[in-house]
Amino acid sequence: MSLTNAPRLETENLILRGPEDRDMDHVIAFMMNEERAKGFGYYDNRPQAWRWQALSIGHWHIHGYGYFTIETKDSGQPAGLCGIWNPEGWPEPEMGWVVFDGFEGRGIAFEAATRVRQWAYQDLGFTTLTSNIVPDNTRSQALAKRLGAAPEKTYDNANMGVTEMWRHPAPAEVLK
Amino acid sequence: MVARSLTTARLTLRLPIASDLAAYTAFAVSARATSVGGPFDEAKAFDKLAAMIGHWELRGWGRYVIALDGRPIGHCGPLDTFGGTPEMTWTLWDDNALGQGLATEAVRAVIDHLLTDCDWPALKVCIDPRNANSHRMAARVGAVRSDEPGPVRWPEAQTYYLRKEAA
Repeated sequence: MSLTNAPRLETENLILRGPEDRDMDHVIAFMMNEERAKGFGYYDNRPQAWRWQALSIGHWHIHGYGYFTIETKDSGQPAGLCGIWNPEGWPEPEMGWVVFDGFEGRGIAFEAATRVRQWAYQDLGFTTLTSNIVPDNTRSQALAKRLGAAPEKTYDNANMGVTEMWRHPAPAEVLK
Repeated sequence: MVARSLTTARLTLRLPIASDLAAYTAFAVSARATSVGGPFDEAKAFDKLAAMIGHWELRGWGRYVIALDGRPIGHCGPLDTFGGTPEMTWTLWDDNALGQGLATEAVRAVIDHLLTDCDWPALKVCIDPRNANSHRMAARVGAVRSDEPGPVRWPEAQTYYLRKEAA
């Protein structure tokens, strides 16, 4: 059952959809994995990780956008999260992405982020988009570069500490 | 099934929505939020209201926003405690709404709905030992003091139970 008003987006290999009940264990496993989640929001206990997913659902209700669950068409399983995040305290809306354990190395984040950025520009009418990346997250930096984004500044994020803000190419460059 | 809205003589209880954020945040950053683990900053207030909304979607029940003449003045309702007895919570956000029995009216309606209409066996209540107003509320609505320690996140809280037969 859909828990939000999120649309369903498709790419060649992926379905991007709103959070569903069956995502919970996958999201909790990710959020409680310090190595994987430290640049995103790591929690050492299940209740806090559950609350993050509740917050993510509420974010959709408040803003009308949020994190999609990425599902691979071949597995039908949740493979990661990608979406637009803008809670109170964020300098401006950002596009974020994470890939769950076992789904790396298949270009999933690039494929999802390309589609989400198109949605943000085309359907939400965003005129610019950032991504916040912690300085030692070389994988995300490489992906941001591949998406055509460039580092703009470093700032102190309330949740993540010292963070690089990357800026994506403008709609005119992406939607041509 | 838990109702998504309830009405009392003076109040409407409904799901939290985006436009509640300003009123909730004003409370959350204020000194009065000390009794519920605050004060919090604005970012934390956003996170908490968003989680309140998401809780309803995930569980099918959660905390209602208390509205008086269309204005949000507080919240009250059950909170999931991860396998334990759901925790009944209540907070008035608006100083001007205090002292008129509005919280009691809302809390009674929710307890009655959950224990009678929905046939829930029990609700737990956790109250800061120094929060005299809330201890009086617990007594008014028939909550019985328990020796159980407070939750892990809040061990010093005094616990109470509300049960069907007492409602």
